[in-house]
Amino acid sequence: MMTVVQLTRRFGGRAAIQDLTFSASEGEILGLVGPNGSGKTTTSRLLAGVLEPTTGHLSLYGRSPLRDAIEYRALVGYLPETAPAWGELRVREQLMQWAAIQGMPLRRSLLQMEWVLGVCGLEPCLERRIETLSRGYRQRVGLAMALLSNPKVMILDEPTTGLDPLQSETIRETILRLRQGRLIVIATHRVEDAEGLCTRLLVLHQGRLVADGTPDELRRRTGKTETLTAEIRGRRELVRERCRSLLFVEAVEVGGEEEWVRVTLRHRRGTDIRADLFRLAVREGWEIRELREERPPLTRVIASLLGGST
Amino acid sequence: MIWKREFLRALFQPSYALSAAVFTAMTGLNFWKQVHDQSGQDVTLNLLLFGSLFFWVLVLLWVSVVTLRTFPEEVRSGTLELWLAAPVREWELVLGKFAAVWLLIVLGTLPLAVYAPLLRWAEAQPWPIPWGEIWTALSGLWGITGLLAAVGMAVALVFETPLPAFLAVFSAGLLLFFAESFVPFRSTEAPRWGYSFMLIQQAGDWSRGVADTRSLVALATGMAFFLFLSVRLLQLKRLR
Repeated sequence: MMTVVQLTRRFGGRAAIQDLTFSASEGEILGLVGPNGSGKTTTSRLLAGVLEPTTGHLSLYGRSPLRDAIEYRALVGYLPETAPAWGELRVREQLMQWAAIQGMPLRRSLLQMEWVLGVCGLEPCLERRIETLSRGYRQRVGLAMALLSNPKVMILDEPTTGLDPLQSETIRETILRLRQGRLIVIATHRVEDAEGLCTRLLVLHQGRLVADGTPDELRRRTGKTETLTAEIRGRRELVRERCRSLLFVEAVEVGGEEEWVRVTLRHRRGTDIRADLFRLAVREGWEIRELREERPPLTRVIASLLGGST
Repeated sequence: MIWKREFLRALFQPSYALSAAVFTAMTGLNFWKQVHDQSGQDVTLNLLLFGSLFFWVLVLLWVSVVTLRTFPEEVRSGTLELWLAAPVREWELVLGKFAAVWLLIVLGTLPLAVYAPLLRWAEAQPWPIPWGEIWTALSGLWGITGLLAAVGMAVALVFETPLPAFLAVFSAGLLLFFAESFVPFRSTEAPRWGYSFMLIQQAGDWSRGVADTRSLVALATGMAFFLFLSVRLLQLKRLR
């Protein structure tokens, strides 16, 4: 449904985005991640139809932002970075006026408004002026505006920046609720958003796409091994010896208490040794009380994809 | 729809009410001073109302302030990005904002029609009020302010923060008003169309209650040109 081919955007002689190519479909939460100046906001603004590309193609359900500008923009709900709003208006006025600008008939506006107020938790401040609201509530107003026309695609630029952890969590929960039946694109530099929200990440660096995949796929692309940690009741030396004989295991470390041995297995990237470990435990009569995959933090993964620079 | 939204939003803003009140008070004082200074002389009421240079400088200042409501404030608050992402054509936005600003200016200049009856009431003399001339002059004023607002919108789109935008709009208005001092067709041999574009000449004609269709055509042409320019400048924002 969203197709981006060789998208390039220049500001003067400098390319903010260069040869960006990807496609995405509904149900996905696509994260645009990368350091400051990597082109996240420019990409968001291009996808929202605010900016026109210098070269390349972009389409949503076959609509182009250049040829079918109005139809294209009607498909998109956009929340800019600072969640701007007309501060002197009350929340109700803002949403009603925004619905009218979107060309919605009054009856539908009222129904949609009721829905977005519920989804975004704005009922308590319906009659309050936007300039008197907290940063978190203003962000919710911006989200409500982006959602008002029930768009097929939502572009959210830094939706949780400047919010406290509780407010961020509320916004994240709201975004997750909205995922059904639509594509959501989030530009973010917050790892919590990328990790907790996004089903797929596009890593940008200096305007270029350097990686594209789910968070787990990106983890697998960095580093040669993966790590599995288990707590096993068994004889320490025997556990070490038997585990070392498992296929794809490259290193074994043991530690922990006398009775329960904590074993850390480094195995080849892209392999899954959990089933083999279970079978071994059954064969040797061991008990397993904990088994978990150690995943490197996403920040480190992204930094590694960017060649160490963040 | 956009014009209605913009008009109502601005109408209930304290900044508009304050600037309109200051404009009304200053033009009222100016009128009173003109009446006082020129008592006993053979001067028409219209010239007392609309004929002073100070009056037109006030108009220019006020139009510059009201025009800031169009785009510089949207840029400052970041809401221009919302407009650019909305399913609205650039010309719809420009025309909507222009209509709202023009209507605000017309509304703010309506109290000028009350000065003559007030003067008659204060003097307690039953002289006839020249309504025809007053309305002709007001129509001219609205035409000129319409052109200034269109120029203001185009200039304000270039300057993205309110203060430089205000100064630029005011300077552009001054230039249009006093173009006569700079252009070569100042002499009596100047072509008639050139004369029609000189706002100070137009202001003088309208103030005397003289309506000239060439002036109207010139104002309408000027407005159309600067509105078109505003649309193009807004479209350029997608490329910048």
